[in-house]
Formats: sequence, structure tokens, C-alpha cells
Amino acid sequence: MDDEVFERKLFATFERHGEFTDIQQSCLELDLFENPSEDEDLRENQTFSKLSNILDEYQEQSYLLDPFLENLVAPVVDCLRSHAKASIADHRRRGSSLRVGRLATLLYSYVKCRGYKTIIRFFPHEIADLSIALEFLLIPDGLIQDATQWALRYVVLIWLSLICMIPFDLAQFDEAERIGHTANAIESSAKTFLGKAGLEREGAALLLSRLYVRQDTGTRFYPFLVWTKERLEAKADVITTIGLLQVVCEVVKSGPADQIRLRVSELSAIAHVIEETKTLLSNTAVRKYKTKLVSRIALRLLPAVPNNGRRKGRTLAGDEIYLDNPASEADFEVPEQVEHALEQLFSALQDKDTVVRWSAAKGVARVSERLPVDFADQVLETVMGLFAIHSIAAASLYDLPAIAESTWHGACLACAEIARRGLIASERLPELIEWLSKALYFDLRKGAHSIGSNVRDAAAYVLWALARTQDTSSLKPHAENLAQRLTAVALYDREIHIRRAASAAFQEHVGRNGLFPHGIDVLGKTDFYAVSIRRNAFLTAAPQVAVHLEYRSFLLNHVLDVVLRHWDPTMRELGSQSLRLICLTDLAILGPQASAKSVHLLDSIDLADLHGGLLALSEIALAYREFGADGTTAVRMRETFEALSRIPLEVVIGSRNAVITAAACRLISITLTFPEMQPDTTSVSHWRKIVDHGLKHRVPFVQEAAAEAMASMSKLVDYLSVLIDAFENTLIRELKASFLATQQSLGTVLGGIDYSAYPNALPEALDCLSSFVKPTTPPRSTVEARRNCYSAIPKILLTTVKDLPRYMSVEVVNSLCDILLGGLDDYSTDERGDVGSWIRAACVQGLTSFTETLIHNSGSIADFAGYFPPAKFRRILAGILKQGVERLDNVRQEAGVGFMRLLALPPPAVADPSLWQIPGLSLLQELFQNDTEYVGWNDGHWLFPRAVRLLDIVEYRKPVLTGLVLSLGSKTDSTHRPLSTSLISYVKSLPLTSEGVEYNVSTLVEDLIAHAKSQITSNSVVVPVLQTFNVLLEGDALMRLAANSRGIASLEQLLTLVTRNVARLKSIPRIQESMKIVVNLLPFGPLFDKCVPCLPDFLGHQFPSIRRETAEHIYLVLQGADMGRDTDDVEEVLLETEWSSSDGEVTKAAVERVVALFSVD
Amino acid sequence: MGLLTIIRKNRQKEREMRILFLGLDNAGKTTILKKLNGEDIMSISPTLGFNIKTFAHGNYILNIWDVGGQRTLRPYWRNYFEQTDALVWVVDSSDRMRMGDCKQELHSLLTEDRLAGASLLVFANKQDLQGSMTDAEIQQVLDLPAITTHHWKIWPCSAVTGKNLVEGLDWVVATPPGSRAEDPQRRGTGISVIPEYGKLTQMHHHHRSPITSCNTKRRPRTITMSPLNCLRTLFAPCEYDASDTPALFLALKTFRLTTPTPLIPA
Repeated sequence: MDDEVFERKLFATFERHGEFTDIQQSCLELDLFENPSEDEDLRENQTFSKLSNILDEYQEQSYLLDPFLENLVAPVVDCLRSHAKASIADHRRRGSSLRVGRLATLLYSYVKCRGYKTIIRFFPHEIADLSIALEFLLIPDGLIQDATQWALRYVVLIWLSLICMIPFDLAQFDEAERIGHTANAIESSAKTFLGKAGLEREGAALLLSRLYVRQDTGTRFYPFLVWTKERLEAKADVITTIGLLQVVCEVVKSGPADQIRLRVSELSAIAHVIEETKTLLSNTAVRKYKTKLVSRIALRLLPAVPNNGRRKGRTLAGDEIYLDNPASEADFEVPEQVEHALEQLFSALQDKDTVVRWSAAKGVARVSERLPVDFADQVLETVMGLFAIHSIAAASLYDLPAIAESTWHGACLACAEIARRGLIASERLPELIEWLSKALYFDLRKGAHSIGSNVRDAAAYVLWALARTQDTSSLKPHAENLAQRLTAVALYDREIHIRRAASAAFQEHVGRNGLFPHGIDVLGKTDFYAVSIRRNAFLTAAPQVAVHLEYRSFLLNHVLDVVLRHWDPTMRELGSQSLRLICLTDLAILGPQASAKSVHLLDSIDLADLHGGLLALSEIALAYREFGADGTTAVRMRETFEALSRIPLEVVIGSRNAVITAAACRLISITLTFPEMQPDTTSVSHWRKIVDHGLKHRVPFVQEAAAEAMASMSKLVDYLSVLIDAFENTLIRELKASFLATQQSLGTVLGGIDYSAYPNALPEALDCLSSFVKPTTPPRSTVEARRNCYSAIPKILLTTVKDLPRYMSVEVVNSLCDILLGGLDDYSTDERGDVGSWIRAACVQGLTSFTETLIHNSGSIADFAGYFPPAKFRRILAGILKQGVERLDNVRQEAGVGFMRLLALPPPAVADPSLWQIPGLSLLQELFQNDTEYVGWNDGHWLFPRAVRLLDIVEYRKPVLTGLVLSLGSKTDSTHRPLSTSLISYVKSLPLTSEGVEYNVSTLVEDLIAHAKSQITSNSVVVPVLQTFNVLLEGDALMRLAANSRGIASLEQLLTLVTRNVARLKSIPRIQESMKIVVNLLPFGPLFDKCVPCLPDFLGHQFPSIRRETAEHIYLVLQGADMGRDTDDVEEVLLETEWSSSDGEVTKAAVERVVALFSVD
Repeated sequence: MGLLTIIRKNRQKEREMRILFLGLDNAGKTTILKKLNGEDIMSISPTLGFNIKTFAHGNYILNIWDVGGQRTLRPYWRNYFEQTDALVWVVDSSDRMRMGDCKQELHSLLTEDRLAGASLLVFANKQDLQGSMTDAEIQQVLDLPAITTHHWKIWPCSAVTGKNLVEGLDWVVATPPGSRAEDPQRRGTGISVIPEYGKLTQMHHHHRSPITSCNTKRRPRTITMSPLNCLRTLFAPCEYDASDTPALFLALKTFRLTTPTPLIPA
């Protein structure tokens, strides 16, 4: 249900390379010393964001940039370098902080995208660069010291860190009397950045570490360590601590071993200080770096030569190669510090933060790699021991305390990293795999969700790593177990990434070892895409895999034991459906097995189990119904029905147990049999109470399930009394009177019932429906209830159409159709917005299926023309089209889908089918059935250019025009804009006048005026019409009207319409639109003199905003239109008057002046 | 970071190698690099400092660090050892005078723990010059057979003619796992029948064939039919049944047998 799959676009290459280079080139051409003007700055900023946006697109696949990077990065760095050079030459010249900042940020964007290790390679590192970069960094009060220029500082620092690798004594850069000056300058300035919270810290740490691993400046490392320890002991803040640790970690990693070994005690002391300082230890990053430090110290204490004899990277290409490595054979003394470090790493494996656990896991594995075999084996044993810590007290995996999550995750990660290095002896495999089998299912419920997906992912990681490193022979005993478990997780995990992870591990095993039963076949069914969508994994892939006996019962049991009991109800629902599909592979055997186990679930006290059990039983019963052997089905149904008695009634109908009520109703609707309905033979005496409770339930899905149960009752033909009972005694009356929310089920029930058994019930049902939807104020039923009632109408028709006259007369069917047509005019709104649109959409659907039902059965309906008069058909078409051009995208889409279905209908099978010919069919087909261009009615840009042409068809003209006007009056830009453009060009294409039914501008205008006049007091009708006129007037679409008297008469009518009683209008939009029309009519020569006297109404209006807007609008019109007179004076008055002034005299005089100036001539 | 991220990163890292070019001054390190990169080799002066070159070689991205070989620079070589997958030691075959020097520098490098696991390629350069030593002679003089800690191989070559340069790099990228750098993520396997999980299957998804591509970490160079095509032929039809399975593994087995073992020093 919520299993939306979001896949980032996958690129195959850096497609936007050309575009990117061009934009970047334009950025590099700017003068960095020149400050951009505000406009330039805005433009440059946009250009720059384009670049960083493109880079962001490639963030996930940044390696695609590799072939282009050198040519991309080098020019930017060059630019920076020459700027640095120029800045050093003249300290007074200060670069533009905006431009230099952007340049540096561009470089930072590259680093962010591809990583500094890659980008740094393209920085220059000649001897001369050292002084350029260093001096630039040190310019006093230079741009680089500016607080905002963090990117510049970062880039220069990492640049210096590269330059620091030059193989020359740094002393060569010093003047003779100041030996050590250069190194001092680098060190001291880098140190100042170590306490910065920004990225500079990382750059500075890198620079310092490069400095300290150098041959000539390595001696500075010891003082640095001493200083670090002092700082830490003096309660350095967290940020500084991180900076210091970054330096130390980097040096310990890449420095020369002899130098590190000399300093082990200092290094361990630093780790110890941190261990002792609570404030520091509470920070995740500090703990991470501490873990790194500890593991790296241990690493450097151990001999580096990898023990190749034990490490077997299995290859298909060639034989395994063993290095003759005498050192590896000899055991050596493992320093005590290493044991101590391992202890710390084991506890870090259980850290509450993932990053720390990761660091520790890698540390443990790297250290093990260098340890003697026996010792490494002990490490693995200890790691596996972590699994047991929380398991001793727990009865099952699901009873573990929540804290076990981090322990298990850390243990899995460490095992995975160890396995990846091929350090797991085959004797250890059985124990490890046993733990992993549990870890794959690790899922601890916590409140309304669960934790542990990271453990499951890490378990898949271990199995993946084992597939890559273990011997086929040692995996062989575990193959079937692993295959089954991995498949179960790949198919049935709740999370997409876990399903994929399990599928990836499965694939690795199949590809490398080929031990899994039907491996390739199953892999094809559970690959990356097959398991991506939960529904597909459960309902398509799982039954396919269950074809194989090796997997079948394992999957079945997994569903019964795990999925049906899952905390997420949607999992249980999909799981039960999957169960049915698996049972279908061998129903006779699997059905009873699954039923027996599901029945046991009903004895649980956990609501999830009850729900899962009920769902499973329903689905198994469904399987029997569809495919069960004759004779046994009825028995199975009764058995299943009987199981319901295991759950006490108060639980089934308990408050907040909606899912269980619904599941029970569903079980009833599927397994209800005649004997069970008799009070004396039923095994579940309270089943009716469940259904009744469900009908009155406030949650829609429970109501629907209960309505289904009612429908199955009505299908058991003999059971007349239920219906009588329902209609004549209780049900309807109860529902009518009951709480509003429960009314919703009325429509659902009435629509679902099979009336064939009891046609006399039908009139009352229909009465009830029509009285329910009758418009009243205030409405006596909720919108949802009315919507359900409308939806019930076509359903009733569908169940009765086979023998229509027996159930309904001509008048009844016609009145049903009218009810649906009436629903199209429901524009109710409440605090949720246009809720009437639900009803309109339901009626559009209803009318569509209503029409389809009748036309498909036209052959068997004797008085077809009476039941479905052609005029009604045209009203339906017109009504749907009106909805199809209105404001809401989803309603338009619904109408479009419905209308397309109607277009596709065959002619009715009657004597004279041409009566039901769709008016304007050929135009409609041209507009909407051209498959190559079909986009969807929800897309205004596609729809409206077509929709306006519907006005050509006289039958649809009025409703479509009304719909279009409504849309034009909407504030939705995506509707308004394409519609205005389309309508203007459509009107321009119309003739001024015409003979016959062809549409013309004059008639259109008259139609619009008539529409407005029909409800002159309703602003919601008039304002959209006025807006439409303004759109047309401002689009120059009506100029032609001035050419003849009919047009002028129309325009005069319009003028009267908008100028009557202006002072009494209260709706601001109506005043505004009226004002605009008057002003827009000014350029029409014959109307000018009539318009001018009306201007004071608006220009001197009591609302200041109207006065101001009027003045502005007049000015705009005068500017834009050719008035045939000199209007400079008027324009001057308009501009110079303070229209919103509260001084009435001022504006009054100005109004008089405007009118007077207009009247001259 | 989940398993899928790990797999993706792994694929990417398996395709990258960091190679360090070292040797005495005037051995021709920079010249070899420029020749490989198709640049002009006529005006090359001694490297004062270091060069970084990145280029694609087959399926690999090679990051080559070339450091000057003057005596004064040699103490700084260790700045560049980190994360090295392969060491290329370039020898001036005509410089008989300094062979001892050359041997001593090389052997001292090999004791460095940060180079443990890197494979060693010795380029006996300047074979085009009259009177230069042969690779066999150099092998003896440098006492290469005594090296047991690293995979090594010597190739006679000429930076001027370009002879054996590409072949040498081929050997570097084909050196089997286990001898590579300590980072396990670099330790790939041979020809894997595993498509890049989730990625390639997408392109061919409509075939519903699980195995659509191969990650040829170690490129086989002598088989006539690529493993990819082997598998494609096997799986060409969209539907296949279980009886195909033995055929696949038979095919793979045969394939494994016919693939030559990489060159290893005797």
C-alpha cells in the first residue's frame, strides 16, 4: 500500500558534459577582482546554481564524471591559482567576495560530488605552488580570512596538503636565517582551523597529517601529540577534539610504522583521556574517531604482511595463488596493547550509533587479519558471543530487549567484515549460520513501528561475504537452509532494501557456488526488480518460487509464522493473499495444513495474530471456493466458519479493533452457508451481531466488508427473511437515524445486495437512496454517504438489468438517471474544500457505467427507448463533458476516462440505433481518440485547446460553455492559463455572424450575457462570466463586434450589466471585474461616450483600492490601445493623483477632471 | 550504508588501481608514462617533484603516481606508499654502473609495511639502446628471485618504441587477488557470473534473464568467446527451465579450465 518505489534516474554517462563545460567556461571568464553589479550577481548566481545542480544529479553515480574530470577541474583550479598569485603580488587588491566565493564553492561542489581524494589530483603541485598557496592563506585581512569564505579556506587547505607531498626538504623554502619558518607557518595556521566547526577543520587536519608524515617534519608529530593531550586534558571542546583526532587518526593510518610504534604510549594515552571524559564521549563523531584511533594503533603494532596462505580470494579465472610467505607461518607474540584495543572495539561494536559500530567492525576485521590464526579465531568467537548476550533470558527472537538491536547489528557487521577477508574457518560456519538465520528475521516491535531492519541488512551482508570467500564444500551442508531463508526474506520482508539485500546475497551464492536448489531459476523469479514492489514479491514472485518443493513448505510456514503475525496490518493482508496463492500450488495438501495453523492463531491474545489468522482463513476458503474439489468445499466452508467462534464477540467488535471486525465480516461473507444461517444449526451464534456492528461502524472499510457479508447473505436465495428483516424492520430505519458517519454504509449495502431473490425490496431501497441524496439545507446526510448512494445506483442497475422490467419500471430507471445527472450539480463545500467533487466524480462514473449497462443489454430490453431515451443519453454526454472542462484536474480526468468509454460503445441493438448516435462524433474522435497525442484530460495544456472546439457542437454548447466559464473564473493557474489562450484563439477563429448551427462571436457573447443574467444576483455565476469577458477583451478577441449593430447592442447590454448599482455591490471581485469591463470597453469607438460617464462610479468609488486599480487600469488601456485621440492630459492626471488618498475632495476633483478631459473633442 | 551500497561501492573500487612508479633518476619513469598516455616524449626533463596521471586501461581506471628518482628525493618516496596496489620499478637497462644502487633501493622498498600486498612490476627499460642488459641479466643482478613477499614480474621494454609497455600494465591489472593491497574491497574475484546487482538487470529486464552480464574484473585475454556471450547464448530465450542449470555450470567449469592461469614467476 505504502510501498512506493522511488528510483533515482540511472545515468549511463555524463550526458550533460557539453552543457556543463560551456556554463563553467562562462563562469571562469569573469574578473575576480571586479565586484558584480546586483543584476550580474543574480545572473552569475543562477549560472552557478545550474552547475551545482548538474553535479548534484550525478551525486549517486559520480564515477561517471571520471573521464571528464581532468578537463573540468584543472581550469577552475588554474583560475584560483592565478587569483591567488595576483592577490599575493598586491595585498591591497581584494577579490570580489561573491565571485571568488563562487569559484571556491564550485571546487567544493566537485569535492562533494566525487570526493577530495579524486579531485585533489588535479591541483597543481609544483615547487612554486607552495609559496602561492601558503601566502594566499596568510594574507592579513585578506578575503580568505572572511568568515563567509569557508569554501575558499577548505580548498586552499587541501591544496596545500597535496603540495606538502613534494619530495623536498621544506627548509629549502626558508631564508637562511629563518630555518623552519615555512613548516612553522603551515603548522601554526593549520592548527588555528582545527577548532572550526566548518569544513576548514577537515582540510586543516588533512594538511597537518601530511606534514607530520613527512621525512623532515615528522619530528613535529611528537610535540603535536603532547599538545593534543594537553588540550584534551584542559577540557577542549568537542569540535576541537574532533579536529585533533582527525589529524592523529590520519597520521597513524599513513605514517611510517617505525615512527608510529615509537609513539604508541602517547597515542594510547590520548584514547584514554577521551575514554575518561564523559562530555566528549557523548559525541558520536568523537567516539567514531576514538574507535578508529584504537584500531589503527593496534594495526600498526602488528606485522603488516598479510597472511596470504589463509586468505583465499576465489577466482574463476585462474587457480588460487599462494604466496610463499615464511613470516606468516611463524607465530609471533601479540602485544598486550592489541588485546586491550580489541576489548575496546568489542564494546564499540555495541555502540548506540551506527557509524561507531561500523568503525569498530572494520577495525576488528582488519586487526584479525594480521593476527595469528588461533588468535583471530578467538576474536570471531568473541564477536559471535555478542549475539548471545541478550538471548539468554529471551524465549524467542521477538522477546529480545530493544537494546539488542545495536549489539546484533555490530556483531553482524563485524562478522561480515571478517568474512569478507576470508578469515572464517569452516568449523565456525555452523554456529555463525545459526545466528545469522535468526538475524535475518530480526524485527523488534517498538510502539507503532519496529526496529531491526539494519540487523537484517547486515545479516544479508555476512551471507553475501561468505558466498564470496568460503569454500563451496564448507557451504554445502548449509546450502538448502540458506537458500530457503534468503528466499523467504527476499520475498517477504517488509522493507524494499532488505528484500533486495537478501536477493543480492542469494544471487552471490548462486553465481559463485551453485549450491542452491534451482538457484538460477529462483534467482530469475526473485531478482532486484521482482522483489522491488512488495505486492509483486508477495503475489507474483512468491507463488512462482513455491513451485519448487524445496521452497514450498518453507515459504508457507514463513508466511504463517512470521508474515501473518507481522505488526503492520498491510503486511498481514498481502501475506494472507500470498498464502492463498501458495496453497493453490497443491490445495489438497497445503490447504488443510495452512488452515490448521491459521486456526491456532485465533487462540492468541495478540490482535495482530487474530487479524492474520482471520485473513488467512478467509483466503484459504476463497481458494477452496475457486478450486476446491466438489463435495469437500461445503465442509471446508463450515469448518472455517466455525473457527470464528474461537474469538470472543467482545474482541471482534471491540472498540479500536476495526481491522478485526472487517476481517471477521470478510470471513463471514466468504464462508457463509445456509445451515450456518439457521439459528439452530449455526456454530457461531453471534455472527449476525458482528455483521450488524460492522454495518454501523464508523470506518469505511469495515462498512464495506460488512456490506459484502450482507450481499453474500442475500445470495443464499432461500433466505428471504434476512432481506425482509433488513428492509421492513430495522436496517434502513436504523441507518437513517444513526450517527452520520455510519450512514455511509447504507449506499454500500444497498448497492451490493442481490435483489433477484426479493424484488419487492427494491422500491423501498430506491426510495431510501433517492431520499438520501435529495438536496436539502442543511444536508441530512454526509457527503460520503451521498457519494456511496450515488455509486449504488449503477450497481443496482447492473444486478437487475438481465430482467429489468421485473424489477423496475421505465419511470424508475429514468428517475435514477435523473438522480445521477442531478449529482453532477453538487458543488457542496465544507472545511475540507470542494467535497462536492467526490460526488460529481462518483456520478460521472455512475453515469458512464449506467449507460454502458443499458447499451450492452439493449437487445434484451423491450422498451429500450423508454428506459433510455436518446435525449437522456445526450444529457449524459453533455453533463460529463461539462465536468470534463472544469477546474479540478482529477474530476476532469474522471470525466475524460468516462467519456472515452462512452465514445467506444457500440450502437444499441435496437431497430433504429441512429437515434443514439453521439452528436459530433467525428469531431470528438478527431479531438480525443488520436492515440498518438493522447495525454490525459487532467493536463490543461493538452485538454483546453481541444475542449474549446467542443463549442462547435450545438448539443454540448451550453454545458461546455458553462464549464469553461467556471474554469476561467478559477484561481488555478494550470487551468486558467491554457484555457485563456485556447479560448482567445478559438473566439478569434469564429466568424462574426453565421447562418445555421455554426457558432459565431455574436451568439457566443449573447450566450455569455444570457448566462450571467440568468442568475444576476449570484456572484459565483456572474463573476466568472465577467472574467471571461475580460480575458476575451484583453486578448483582443471581441474587437470585431463593434462592426455591426448586433455586436454593439450586445456590448451595450454588457455595459449595462456591469454599471448598474455599482455602489451597492459588495463583492470586491465583482466590482473589480465590472470596472475592468468598463475600462476595457473604452477603445470600442461607439461605446466610448457611454463608458466615460460610468467611470466616476469606479474612479470615485468609496473603496480606495478600487479607485487606485481603476486609475491604473485606465492608464494601462490608454497606453496599450489606440484611442484615436490625444490622451496625454488624462494620463498625467491619472498618474499624479493620489488615488488611495482619504481626502475625498482631491479624488473627486481628479475624477471630474478625467471625465472632462475624456469628454473634450 | 546497507548491503546494496556496499555492493555498489565494491564494484566501483574494484575498477580502480593506484600504481606507484619508482626507480633511480633517469630510468625513464615519466617517459614511460607519457608514452602510455600518447604525449610527446622528446622534451622531458628530470622530474622535480611528482606527477599524478589518471587514465583508463581496459576496464580499469589507473591512478599513477610518478615520483622523481634523484637521490635527494628518495627519502620522500615513503610519502606516497599509502594505498598502493602495485609498484612499478623502472630500471635503466643501460646503466650498468648503478645496478647495485638500484638493487639496494628496490629491496629496501620491499620491506616497507605500507607496500605489503602490492604487486611488483619491474620494467627493464631502454631495451632499444645498444648494449643494454637483458631482462634475464637484470633479474639476476637485482636478485629478483629472492623476493618472496610480493608477486613480481620483469618485462623488457622501451619507452621510446613503446614495446611491452601495455603488456606490462596488463600484467599489473591481471595480478591475482590476495597479493593486492590490504584493503579487502580491492580484492576482487576473477570472472564473476554475477551481474552488477540491480543495475544491469534493469537494462535487460524485459528478458527476465537473471544473468545478463559479467563483471570481468580480470579480463580473460585468450578465450574466443566472452563469458558474457557464453551466458547470453545459454540464456538467449526468455524462458528456460531447470534443465538448463547443469548446462550453465558445465559451461562455466569448462570456461574455468580453458582460461590460462596468469603469468607467475617460476
